[in-house]
Amino acid sequence: MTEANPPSRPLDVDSTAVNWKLTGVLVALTAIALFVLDPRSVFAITEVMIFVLFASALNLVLSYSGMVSFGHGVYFGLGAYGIALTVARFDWPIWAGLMAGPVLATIAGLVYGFLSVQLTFIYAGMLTLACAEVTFGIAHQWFSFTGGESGITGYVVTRLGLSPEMFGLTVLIVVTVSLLLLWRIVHSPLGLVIRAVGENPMRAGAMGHNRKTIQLIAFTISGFFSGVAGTLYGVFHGNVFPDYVGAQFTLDGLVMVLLGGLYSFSAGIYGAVIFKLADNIVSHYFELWELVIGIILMSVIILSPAGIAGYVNRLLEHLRRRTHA
Amino acid sequence: MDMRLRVSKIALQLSGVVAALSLVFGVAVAQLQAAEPLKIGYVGGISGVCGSLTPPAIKAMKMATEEINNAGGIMGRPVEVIYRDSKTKPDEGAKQARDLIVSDKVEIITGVCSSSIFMSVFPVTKEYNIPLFSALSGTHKPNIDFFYPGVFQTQPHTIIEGKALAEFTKQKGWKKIVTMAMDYEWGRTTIEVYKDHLAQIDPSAKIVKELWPKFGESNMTSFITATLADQPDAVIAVTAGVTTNSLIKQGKAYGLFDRTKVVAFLVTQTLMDMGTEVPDGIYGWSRAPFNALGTARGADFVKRYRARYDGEYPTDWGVLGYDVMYFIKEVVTRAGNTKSEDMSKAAASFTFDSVRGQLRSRTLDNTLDSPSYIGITKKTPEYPFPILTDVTAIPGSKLLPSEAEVLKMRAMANK
Repeated sequence: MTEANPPSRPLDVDSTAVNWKLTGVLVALTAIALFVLDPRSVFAITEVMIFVLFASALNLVLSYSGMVSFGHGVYFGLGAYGIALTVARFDWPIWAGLMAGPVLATIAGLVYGFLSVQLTFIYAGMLTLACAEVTFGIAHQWFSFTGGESGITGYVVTRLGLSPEMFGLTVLIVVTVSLLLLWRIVHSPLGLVIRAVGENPMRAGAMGHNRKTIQLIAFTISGFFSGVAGTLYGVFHGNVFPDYVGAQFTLDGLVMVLLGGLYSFSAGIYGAVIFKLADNIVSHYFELWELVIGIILMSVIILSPAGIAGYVNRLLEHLRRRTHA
Repeated sequence: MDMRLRVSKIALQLSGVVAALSLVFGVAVAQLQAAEPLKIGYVGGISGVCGSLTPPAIKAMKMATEEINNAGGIMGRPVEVIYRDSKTKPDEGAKQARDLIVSDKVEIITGVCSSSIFMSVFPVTKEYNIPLFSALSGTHKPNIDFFYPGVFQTQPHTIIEGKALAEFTKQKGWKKIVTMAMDYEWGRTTIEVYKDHLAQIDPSAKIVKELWPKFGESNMTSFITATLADQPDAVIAVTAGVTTNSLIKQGKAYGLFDRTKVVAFLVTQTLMDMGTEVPDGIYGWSRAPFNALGTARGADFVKRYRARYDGEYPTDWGVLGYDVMYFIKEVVTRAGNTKSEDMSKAAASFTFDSVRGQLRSRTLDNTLDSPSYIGITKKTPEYPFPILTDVTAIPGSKLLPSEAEVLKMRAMANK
């Protein structure tokens, strides 16, 4: 089978740079914001943080491993179904359910990833879509087990009984630690191999790296972190529905990464923040809110193909040069 | 002595002034409190799958709100309804409900199209112990399985509808039945209730085939041919939207309606959308057909709705939207506040004069004994679309589960 070359990458994007001081300040400001802002903002921030993790997990696959996933909502949704099913159907304690979400997503990532890496590029992408359809079908139609369309409700006290601020802080900690782990993975020897495979699978293969194995590892890791995000989301709302494993969540994730800017570690962060804020704010004032999101996405892709991350990087570079000049 | 007298006089005068000021201030505060609006949040699919169904409900709710406010509001408080779009997505519904409660400080929430949105909104209202009045979704689960005193239902739910279809089957004497239901919560539960109830009231009737087209299925030919192969006495169809439209269009081509009896979910919106495509003589079941409400209040509502909205006829969702606003008004007025427990007791304390007739609630599950309607389609010169004629309204009081049944289902759900 002929290996398909990944799409060309913008040269002006530093795909790994992280400003640690700025990151620390942002995390601290977020923590403070959770305790000083009104409840509406606290809920919005919490939701944004969960999607930051989901989009960043998806970004690992899209930006670094050279794969396309049209079904990543599955791993997010299985994170939520993991806790819901184990607690509601098998009477597991909550703490075990919290572990079960990411584990279920990881197992699904491993199985579906194994199938998907047998093919490359768009064909692999279509296989991820098929896997997603299978999962959605099970969630939607296995009425007696998954609750079908009505999902599973009331399996856990919403936010585990924590106040909105404390739950927000918990999410902030989990998401920050998860992002640090993702960053560490990207910068580890394994991460370098994943990037090598993503950039040029044939050359990486010639160097002795098995493309299928490396991509499967990346896909499974991404599934795990998507599952963590999904578990948080399931606890946040206290319910789970087939929509969570459906195409809309996958599409939202893809849009977030594209908005944020492919080939940048920050893509998921920028994309999720912009997308969810637009979703939360614009839809309150404008009935055709999806149109607004579409226009924003089109504008970003046309004006800055490297997304918001690319724009921010160029801006920072410009400022740096002016400072040194 | 003079000095003491003078001081006493001044003290007395000052007391009078303070008392007068307090009175004026107190009255002002009372008036201010009385004028504080009673905020009601609406969560429903204004866009998405429910987008075509909810606009008439919102129109009717706006009409009811204006009428209530013109008549002095609820306990002297003007009613303000804040409309939020769930986008027919469960997580969005939950998010909007929470936002309405914590940010807009609504005291009551209503809506909610569809069943899955109801299932996602009710844990939020339960968490904050805010009353939730479901007017537009079919599932009975929040009221039967996961009940809390603040959750109310004003539309016929899946148990009422499933049993109504079974009663109608028995009445017609059909013995060989094919069921055709969309494969999701509403379809599954309605058929489950239908089968159980039919087995009890007419053991000689047999379900010869169960068909489950997927949610939103538009190609019904395989289901139609599978149905005809069994030559049933009747087909009980629990489908909606595009699936019902396809069943009718494609069913005509295969002679389905000539070769067997079909009982389909034919709400006014579907009859309006399908128009002359709907053949005469199909049995249709419905939630509140405007032309067959059979009450003076209903006729008056239809007349005023049409006058206000350029001759438009109210759909079933419109009737239900109008009813829920007046039910809320009555319940809050009788409870004297918006606390869930007080409203539950108040709801069961009176007979609600709805546009669908005299209805009663009960503290067991806060469910109105809403009727379910079954009629026959017919094109008449009076209306620009087919209507249901010879409509039978099966009273909800005959169809609601008994206390023992409710407690059994609740215990099983909470096991």
